[in-house]
This record gives sequence, C-alpha cells and structure tokens, in this order.
Amino acid sequence: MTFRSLLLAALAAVPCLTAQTADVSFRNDVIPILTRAGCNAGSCHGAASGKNGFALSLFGYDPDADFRALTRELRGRRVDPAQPEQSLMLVKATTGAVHQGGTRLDPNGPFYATLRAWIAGGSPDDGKKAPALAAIEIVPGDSVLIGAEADVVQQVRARYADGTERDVTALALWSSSNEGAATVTAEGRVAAKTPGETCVLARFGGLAAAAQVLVLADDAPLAWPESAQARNFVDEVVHLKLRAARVAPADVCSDAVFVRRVHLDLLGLLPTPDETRAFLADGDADKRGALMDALLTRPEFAATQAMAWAEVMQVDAATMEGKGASLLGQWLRDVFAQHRPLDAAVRELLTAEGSTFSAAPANFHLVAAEPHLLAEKVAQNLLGVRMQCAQCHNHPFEKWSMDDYYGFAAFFGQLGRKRGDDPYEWVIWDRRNGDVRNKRNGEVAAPRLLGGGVVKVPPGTDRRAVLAQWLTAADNPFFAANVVNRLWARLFGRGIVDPVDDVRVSNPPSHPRLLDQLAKLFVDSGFDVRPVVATICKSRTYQLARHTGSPPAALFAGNQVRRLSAEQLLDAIGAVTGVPTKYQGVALGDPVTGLDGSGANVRFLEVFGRPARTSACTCDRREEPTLGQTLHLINGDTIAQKVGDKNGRMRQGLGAKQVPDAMLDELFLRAYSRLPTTTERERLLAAVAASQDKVAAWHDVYWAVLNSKEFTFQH
Amino acid sequence: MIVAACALAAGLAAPPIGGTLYSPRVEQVAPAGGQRGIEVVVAFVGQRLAEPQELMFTDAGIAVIGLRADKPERCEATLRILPDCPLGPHALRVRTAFGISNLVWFQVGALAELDEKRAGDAAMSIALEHTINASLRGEEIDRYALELQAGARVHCEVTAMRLGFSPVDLALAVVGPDGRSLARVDDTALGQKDPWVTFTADESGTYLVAVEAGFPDAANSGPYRLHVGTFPRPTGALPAGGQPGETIEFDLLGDGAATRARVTLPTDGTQIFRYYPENDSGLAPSPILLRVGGPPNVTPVVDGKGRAMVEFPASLHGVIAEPDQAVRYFFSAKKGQVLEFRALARSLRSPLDPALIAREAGGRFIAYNDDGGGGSADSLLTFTAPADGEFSIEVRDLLRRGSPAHFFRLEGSERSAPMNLRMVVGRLEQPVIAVPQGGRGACVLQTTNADVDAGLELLAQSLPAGVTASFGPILRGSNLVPLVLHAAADTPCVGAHLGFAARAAKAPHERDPGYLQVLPLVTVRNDQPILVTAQRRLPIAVTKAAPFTVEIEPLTAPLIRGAPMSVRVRVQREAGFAENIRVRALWTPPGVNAGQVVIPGTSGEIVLPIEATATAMLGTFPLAIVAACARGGGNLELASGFTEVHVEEPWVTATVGKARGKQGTSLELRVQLARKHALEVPYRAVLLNLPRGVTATETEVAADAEGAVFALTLATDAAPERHRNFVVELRVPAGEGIALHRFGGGEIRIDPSEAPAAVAPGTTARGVR
Repeated sequence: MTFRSLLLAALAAVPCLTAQTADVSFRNDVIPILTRAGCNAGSCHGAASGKNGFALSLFGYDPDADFRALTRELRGRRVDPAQPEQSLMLVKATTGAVHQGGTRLDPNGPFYATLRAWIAGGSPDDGKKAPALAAIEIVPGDSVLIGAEADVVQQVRARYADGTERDVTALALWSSSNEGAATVTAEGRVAAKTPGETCVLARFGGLAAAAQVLVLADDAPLAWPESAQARNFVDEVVHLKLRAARVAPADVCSDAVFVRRVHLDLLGLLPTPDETRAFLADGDADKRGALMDALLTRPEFAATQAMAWAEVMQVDAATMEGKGASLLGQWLRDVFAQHRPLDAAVRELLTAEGSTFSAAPANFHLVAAEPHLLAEKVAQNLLGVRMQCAQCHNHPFEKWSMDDYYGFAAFFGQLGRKRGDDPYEWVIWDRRNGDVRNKRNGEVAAPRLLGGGVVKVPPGTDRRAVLAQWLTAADNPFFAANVVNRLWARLFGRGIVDPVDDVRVSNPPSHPRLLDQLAKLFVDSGFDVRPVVATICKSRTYQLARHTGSPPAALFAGNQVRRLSAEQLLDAIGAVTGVPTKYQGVALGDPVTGLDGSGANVRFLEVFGRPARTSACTCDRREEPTLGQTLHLINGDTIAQKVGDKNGRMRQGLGAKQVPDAMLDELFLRAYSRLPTTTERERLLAAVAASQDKVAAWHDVYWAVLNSKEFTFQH
Repeated sequence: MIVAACALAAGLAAPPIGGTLYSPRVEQVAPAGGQRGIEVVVAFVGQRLAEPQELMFTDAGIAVIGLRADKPERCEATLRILPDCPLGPHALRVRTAFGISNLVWFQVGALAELDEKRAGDAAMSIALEHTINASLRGEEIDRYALELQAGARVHCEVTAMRLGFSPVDLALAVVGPDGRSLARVDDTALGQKDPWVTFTADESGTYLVAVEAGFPDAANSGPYRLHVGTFPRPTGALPAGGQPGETIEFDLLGDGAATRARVTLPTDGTQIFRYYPENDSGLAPSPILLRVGGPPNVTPVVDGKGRAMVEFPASLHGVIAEPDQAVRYFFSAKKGQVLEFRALARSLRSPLDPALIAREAGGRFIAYNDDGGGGSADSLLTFTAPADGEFSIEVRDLLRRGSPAHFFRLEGSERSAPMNLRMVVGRLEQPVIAVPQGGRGACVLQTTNADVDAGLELLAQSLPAGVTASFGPILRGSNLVPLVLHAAADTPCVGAHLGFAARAAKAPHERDPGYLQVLPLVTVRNDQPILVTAQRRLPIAVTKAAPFTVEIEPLTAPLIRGAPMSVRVRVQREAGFAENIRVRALWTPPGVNAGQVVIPGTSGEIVLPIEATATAMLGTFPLAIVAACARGGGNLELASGFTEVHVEEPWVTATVGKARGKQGTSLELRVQLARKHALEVPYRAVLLNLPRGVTATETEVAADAEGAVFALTLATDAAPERHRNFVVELRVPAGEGIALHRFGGGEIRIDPSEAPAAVAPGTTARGVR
C-alpha cells in the first residue's frame, strides 16, 4: 500500500517517546499516558467520585487537580522518588498490587519508562512552563481505501503554542464512527471492512481531530450516467463525492413523484388533484423550477418553516404557558410570512425583554430556568452544538472546555425572571448584574464566545446583545451552517451534519464544501431561507428517484424513502378523506402548522412521533415505525371516522352518484398524485362492483389506499 | 319539617333535609350590566338559589323591584338602576331563605346597552355610544360592523375578566373598510386582560371590530361587555390620589391632551377610588384608579443644586417619561430613623413596573426593592438611615422603559401599623354568617395590630332587631376572636351588613378596628387572585330555622393544665332529621386543643374531647362549638352559645416514681403528691396507658395525703423493658364534676423472669405476634 510506505517514512522522522526523555512533562507526557492507558476514563478514576479513593479529572481536563491527587494525596504514596518502581501509581497499573482496573501499563514499555522517569525526577509539575497544546492534526487524514484488505496508517501530530510539533500517535485515543466500514487500531492503523464511509477520530490532550475514510469495494471505473449533469453547486459537490466513492446517482424522479414530494417538503401538504393535473399537463421544460418558486411564496411554506423552528424552540404550553406558546408560535409564523431576515429575528429573540404575555420572543427564555441550561439550548438550537458534557468536564469528543461552557452561560447570567401580574405570566429583563460561576474552580466566568474567546462586555450593556451580534454575524462559523443544515435535513431526511444538532469534530459534515456554500448563500441572501431552499430543490440531487443500489445515505445518491411526519400524515388523511382534523386554536380545515405546542391532546400526532417539545434534541421527534402506528392506521378511529364521515369525500361522492372511475381517479390523485394503473383500476373497481354495499366497498378501497406504503411514505 | 314546608310553599320539590339549599352560589349574571336610569331584568344562575329574598348590594344606586326563582339553579331580578347610580361594578350577594351567596358584580354603565344578536358568523351592526352585552363561545370570533365617517376618533373597550367571573383573556381587533388590519390589542396596563383600542377612521365606511380569544384555549371564552364610542379614555391621573375627604385636582394622562379634573375622595375606608373620566363626548366606560390614604400630597422643593427636596411623610407623584429615566427625591434623616417607601404604579394600573433604590446623597447604594408591595409589581422599601445626613429615594422602571403614561405615586412615611380585622374563612368558604331563626351562627375574626394592653373588646354594629352578638376576648398570645350571633325564634328572615367597633376598657370611646376582607373574584393557578375586591362590612342573614339546634352542656369542673376534659354536646333534631353532624370547637383559648367528632344520625349527643397543654393560658374563656352537616354541595353550619371554661393550674401535683420487677411478680409504684389548692374530700387515682401485661389497682387518696401507692401485677408475658408512657390520673371532685389531673414521668421497668418463658410457635420472644 502506498499509504503505508509513506507513513512509515514519516514516522521514522518523528522522535519517539522513550524513557530517555530528559525532561518529562507532567502536562504533555504524564497526563496523556494516563489518558491513553484509560486511568482517567469515566469508568475508572475519571469518574466524578473517582475509584477506590483515587480521583482524576476526566481525560485530564484539570491537570492541577490531577497533580495534587498523584503527588499529595495518600501521604504521597502514589509517587516515590526514592524507589520509583514502588510508587503506587506504577505498582497498581502493573498489578503489582490488587488493581480492579487490571494491567494498564507494560513494565517494559515506553509509557512505564516515561512515568518512572518523571517520578524519579521528583514528580515535577511543569505547570505554565509547559507549552500549551494548540492543535492536533491527523495525517494523511481523509483517505479512500479500495478493497477489503486495504489499510492506511494514520498519524497524529500535535502542535504546541511554542511552535514545536510532536508525533503523539501512540498517545492518542482512536475510534471509528462506523466499524462496519473500517476499524482503527490503537496505533492508528485503519483497516477496510466493507464499502462505506467512516470517521476516524483521534483524541489527545483535550482536543480531537477526525479523518473521513471512504471504503470502496474495488477499483472498477465508474460509468457516470450522461444525464447526470450538475445543475448547480449542490450537484457539483455531491457529484464530486459520488465520483470518489464510485457511485453513480439515481435517475431523476417522475413528475408525479416530484409534485407530491415538493408539496410535502415545502408546504407539508399533498397537492390537490387540480394542482397535480395542471403540473403533469404542463409542457414547460422548467416547470419544476416554476412550481418551486410558486410554492416558496405560499403562506403554507412560511407556516411549515415556523413550525419547524417552533419545534426547535420547544414552543409548548408546558414550558411557556398556553398564551406564551401561542404568542411565540405566531411570532415565528410572522417572521417567515413577512420574510424577516433570520439574523434580525434571532437577535430579537435572544435579547427579548418584557412580559411573556406581550413580548412574544421573551417566551424563548422560559425553556430553561438556569443560565447555563439556557445557554445549552441556545448552543444546540441555534448553533447545532451540544455543550452539555462540558458542564462537568471538558467535552471528550470536542474542544469545548468547562471554561467555554460557563463562559457561554455567562451571557445569560444577568437575565432577570419574575412572575407578572398574572401568575401564568413571566417578566424577562436584563438585570445588568449577576454572574455565573465556573463549577471547575468556583470562579466567576467571564462571557466567552464559542471559539471566539473571552469578550469584554461594558457595564450597562446587555450581555445577550453581544452574544446575539456574534451569533448572527456573517462570519459566525455555526449559525448559518446550522440553519442551512436543518433545511437540508428536512428535505433529504438527514443532514449534511447528522444529527443536525450535534456539530463536532467527531461528527464531521459529509460535504463540508456544500455546507459552506449553502451557508454563504444564506448569508448573502440576507438570511432568507427561500433562496437556499430553492437552490437545493432545483438541484438534480433533490429531484433524484430512489437509488436502485444501496449506497450510503450520506452520499445523497438517491432519494431516501421516509415515512410522512405525524403532521403531514394527519393532514394528508384529512385531505384525502375530505375530513380535516380540527386543531385547538386553528380554524377547521387549516393545517396543523397553526397548532402551537406539542399538540399533546391529539392522540394521532403523539403516536406518530410529534415531539413533546421537552428537549432541545432533534431525537425528541420519533421517526421510527412502531406497532402502535401500524395498529392505529389499521384499526384506529382516525381513518375509520374520516372515511366514514357523512360529510366526507367518499360518502359525498356516492351521494352525488359520482362515477366510480372518477372517484378512483380523485382518490389516487389526492393520495398518490398519480392516476391508478390499469391493473389497480380493474381490480379495485371490480371489487366495488361486486359488492352490494357500496359504502363498505369504497370504505375498503379508501382504507387500503390510506394504509399503503405509497401513501404513508414520502418518496 | 320547616325546611321542606318552605320549599313546598315556593312551589319547588322538597329539598332533602340536611341542607341542599344552604350555601347558595351565583356563577353567572346575565346580562352582566346595565345602563343607569333604566330597568333591566337580570338572571342569576348558579346553585341553591331557591327562595331568593334579597339582593344584598354593598352600595346604593340600584333598586330591586322584583325577585323570583323558578328553579334552584336560577333566580331573576328586575333592577331599577337609578339615574344617579355610581358607575362601575356594584357588589352584591343573593340572600335566600337559607343563606347568602358568594359576592358577584353587576356593572353599571353610562352608554345605551344592546344584547348580542347575530346570524351565524355574520357581523352584528352596531352604532357608536353603545355597550354590547355578549358572550364569546369556544374559538369563535365576534364581529361588529360600525359605520363611521372619515375622521371619527373611536374608542373600543372590552370588559371581560373585569366582570369578575373568570380569567377570560380576550383580544380586540379592528379592520378598516379596505380589509386592512388597523389594530389588534390584547392585554393592557389599564384593563389587565381586557383590551381597549383607539383608532381614527381614515375614510368613511364600514369598520369591523372583532372580539376574539387572546389565545386559543377551550376555557378561554365567556361573557363580555364591548363599549364603543367617542368617550374619553385616559389611563391615569397626576396626582394619583389624596387623603380621605380631600378634594383633589388632577391632570388626566393619555388620550391626547391632558385635561384637568376635580374630585372629592371618599371617607368610607375605600383605599382605591374609581374615577370615571368625563368630557363633552361622554364618560369613560371603565375608571382610572385613585389612591385614597397615605401621607398628604407634597410638591418637592428644588434646591440650589437642582435636587428635588422632600420632607417625609409625603406622597409624591411623577412620570418616568423616557427610557432609562429615574426620578430621584432627596431628604434628610437622622441615624436609625426608619422610613417606609411605597411606590404605587401597577396597582393604579400604570404600565410602570417600579423599582425603588435608596442611596446616600452622593449616590452610594443603600437599599433596593422590587415587587415588595404585596401581590403586585409595586414596590415597598424600608429604609433605615445609617447616619445623620441627606439621602435619596429613586423610582425607575424595572425594564428601563418610559412613556408619558408611566406614572407613579410614591408614599414615604414612618412605619405605622393600624389595627385590622378580618373573618377567617377557608378556601371554599364565604365571609358571611347565616343565623337560623332560633339558632346561632358564628365565625372567628382575626385581629392584626390590636392594642391588647388597652383591654380592647369588639362590638357589632347594625345588627338586625332580634339578633344579638357575643364576642370572645382579644387575648395576648392569640389574634383570633370568636363571634357568635343569635337570632330569636321570631326574628324575620332579614339580611344586614355588619359593622364593627372596638372599645377599650381604659378609654371607652369606640374606634374603627379596620374590618377589611379582601375577596378574590378571579383566580388562576391554584387560587392565586388576579382580580380582588374589598368587603368593609360583614354580610349576615337570618335564615329559616335549621332542622336541629346544638348546645354545650355547662362545664362543671375546671380544665386543668396538662389534662383533658369531656365537653358534652347535645343536638335537638327535628323529627325525621337523621343526618350525621360534624362537631368542632369554634375557637379555643391559647394552649387548649379540641378534636372533631361526628354525631351519628341516630344520636342526639356526643362528647367532644378537649385538653389543655402544660402551658395553656390560665383564665376563664368562652367556649363554643360549631355543628355542621353538608349534602349536595350545600353546607349548614350552626353554633352553640358560649359556655365558660376555666383553665387552671393543677390543684395537686404528682411526682411519679419508678418501680422495677420481674415478669410474673407484683410490685409497688409510689407517687408523691403536693397540694396547690386546699382539698376537702378524698379523690381517686388511677394509672392509665399501662403496658400490656401490667395491671394496677385503683387507689383512693385522702384529701391531705402526701403520697399514694399503686399495687402492680406483672404478667409472665409482660414486655421486659422500661415503660415510661403511662400516666397517673387524679380524679379530684370539683363541685358537681371531676377535675382531671394527669402526670407522667414515671417508669415501670420489667425484667425477664429467671427461666425464660416458653415461646409458643409463631410468637416472638416478646410475645408479640
């Protein structure tokens, strides 16, 4: 393998870690060894209360505390400079004494020698003298492995603040996100398994670096279909990766499939028979683009976008009372209906003050009572970053430290919150004083931007305004990317970063350039989602049919079939049967997008996974099929009542003596956006004709259509 | 069978004996208001409203010219609203032959009134200068079409939550002739949950005024009154109050140019006065609020440094006109001087959310308060001067907002604590007293800041003829005072609003004890009030005779500290009345506790146990009990008359000794006696609460004995351990009764016998299965 030879040569040039190291650094040698050996893992001494009386900080995030634990506690028995081999930390790790954690160090290995040398040298703490770790990098990094036997040796290079570099491959912790595709050894050797893609992660010194590894079955040349021409930059980036992965994209979907898909995706609704007929009959070559442009101007598009953000914002009566939820839901609908730039809207949201019964955005501040919990929500909802781990220890898979966590929380540390005149009402305001303390050291946390360092907020200035300005700036690395990623995920069923609210080094975007370009488009468009959605939907990639093979979903080589969301499905059943569902606070016949809150009282929505809006996590929405859903469709009262309703489409059609052919056409056009095939028509009409009870027969036809996968799935 | 007979006379089915007609309740008043100067038929819908006898209005201005009931759930009154009737809510209770209802409001307005009439969803045509009585149901939107000429300036205001029935939260929207939305208003500072809007017609045409739910909720609907006209709509006044009886002139805030007005403030104890602004266009349909009371209004003097100097006590008025503005007053104080500053804004319906900051004159921070004003966003700051010198008190808006409407009144004075009186009521009870003919009704009053040393006693005023009132004493160590009202059997069924006075033994002129009952009208979230009203006189009613009477048998012996006593309660039942009756003490003196018992339907008496703690207050106190039965939601509650109970020190004290013995043996327990009171006859002594397996003889003790001996027998299976829970009871004759004395502190120690007793299968070593 060419990679192997290259890397072996590279490795030879890097000085190895040996016991002969003159000055062993506590910070840069000892702690990494303890990390690599697993001593400070969460399951061992890195647990919050340690193990067997010995506690280390998780993955060494607090070297000061670790130094005290090793050299001061237990009357200094853990290190013995006179007899280094008798130091408890070496005796235990080599099972010279009973050690529940087993053997962690080889007495003849380099790690043991380094630790011994450190102890023999008097166990010094190099403290601030030790050059701080600035960055780590995997080389060669992103790789393509061809064939099941292929492998590549990755190396981790650490760069320190003083400019020095070092090979820390042996000290890094390695992992593969998809071991089905490729595995990685403790030495950094990545071995192919089956075709697919994985992210190889290396962690060292509180930092993480990742490399994407693509595993191909063989090196056979790819027959790229001639029709698969890029229509815009979306296709260009996706095609580039498809070519690298030796995967040809699927064909473009039919007009019937497209018209249904785009209506569901952009409006949350099925197209009406008239809309479908008109679209299918349209001979214009650019009719798809024209349709999308038209759909983007419809109020249902704004309402669908607002509902998605209401879900992200956890708009619900349980959190912000019925009135607050209603006001914030309406505010979000207005934002999208009035084409307000999202950056301005987010700034208004983050700096809202006043009564939650009159200042709608102020309700957002009710999603969490504590500043640090609110900061977590903001990070996850608006930036796609999960900060929760860093509340108690530095993030194990990311660069976020406890200082970052509490510094970010400090932006909300001066938020005032009190009950209003009505006990259901809250008043939110900027107190202009108050602090958040860092749990690590008990010190006041200065406001710190994620990746942006500490900021000086002048007294009398709302800290949230400073945060909002940074967050919505054109060059913010997270916000715009998070917005477009969420848009992409709603159109494709998975994000470019997936899950969309878990941006981290170990979960890199499948198409980083695409994410950047979409984010730039969003910013350049004045933070308007419409141009982004239009660009995505006009791409060939969005319009693909289902792939005949089974390429990894992250390649976007074909359309991913997915069940209609709870909301889409219930409105679709209402549209097909002509008996819409009445939602609280929404006019009869209007879609579920007007419903503010989780809709906990609508059993169908709950069964089909509409989130309870109790968590910022996208996982709150349950998309997996359940037995309850199947039973509800088969035997539940939703379909039975709507189909059998005397004012419903079926009974009305029969009452008006509608021709069976026409009834069937309308049913298929509404449910599938296509006409029945000859076979379908013959068999279904024959069954109807053979039945004495026409209502029962048509009820069965409706039931069968509404229970079919073609109806319940988005394709 | 008096109750049944009355009901039949009213043409109703006989109510079950036991009181389903007691505790009448009004849940709806329709229409919710009427125009003054007219007659209107008003329905009161609720429960147990049969045999209505009176609408007990708190204030004058409405004459009842007809009152009838066709079923227990509804009665109807014809009201003549006098032309000079005060505007606004008129508090009333429905008095029936069986009780007094909860307090409800009936609104009196100045505009002509219409009832809501519409076909389906169509807009109802209305004209200016009208009040529409309507009701919003479910998620409907009520639309009203208003023909306007270009340039017309129109006010629309909704009274919904402020009707006092539910926390209904409505919004008001206006759409122009071209379909353009002109306004949508939800909550307002002046109207709380009720909206009001002012708009000017740009063009002539039909304007649509829509009343809709402020937010969708199945429960968010109900009755409302929509006022539409060109009336003035100020939102506040400067100064925003004065002292009782004072005639003040003030500027009206809001609604365009300021207008001066003048009013004489009431002297009836009202603390918040409703003033209805008026001009050539008419009267505002809802009031602005003026504070009555507090220190006199003062205008600050500006000193050479431009500082507003004030000498407290004083009431000051100002406006936070601009965002981030603070209004600061300077004053001098001596070290240790305590001043109380109260910022009134939200309670006067100003949009200001006041925060108070006390500083040294140089600006150094001393104290801060937000929301300390009790139940609203208003603030109360108690300032103690750290040294002699100059200081300042600063008013600002918590959210640093400001506008010409953000007015406040700042009251600063030394702390005072006037006496206050209120009736103690449970969460679901009404502060009213029903007194059955020939029976008694009772309540417990709570006093605050009463001058106990002055030997105060309470008096009732405005008692109806035939009704007498008996109060318990105002005691140190208890702020509760029992009140029992008695109606002679021939007293007619009447109602009255009872007033109170307090008279001091040392200075026997009467003074106002400050009876004030704050009643929640609208509550949300676990009964937290958002609309309250004040009751300054206690409604009472003489009702038809109850189906039973209750009395306490006079007590024949004193209640000794540390000992119990049995109070015998007798009820006299009407024939056929067989309800269970719950009995509890109306009130007990400090340190005396009473239980609760139930007299079964078949019984006419019961013993109510009471006991005094070792530190119970000594003296003679009035004791009364309350007997109640409830059925079907109604509650009939009667009281007994007062009986005196004497709480005394023990006449003789006992020091209980220790005794020790083995299972299966006998032993003696010695008790030392010390007389505190000359005894003339021998008395009996018994041991109570002995452990299982221990028996003792009852002992007769000579009057002058200094000790007693109990012979104990320990069973072979008596529990072998130390027992300390038993007591010695001395039954000392006292007149015709027995004064019980009880003493503990002794010990009986039981040791195992030499040979352990055989343990039966399934039995533990201690003999406990």
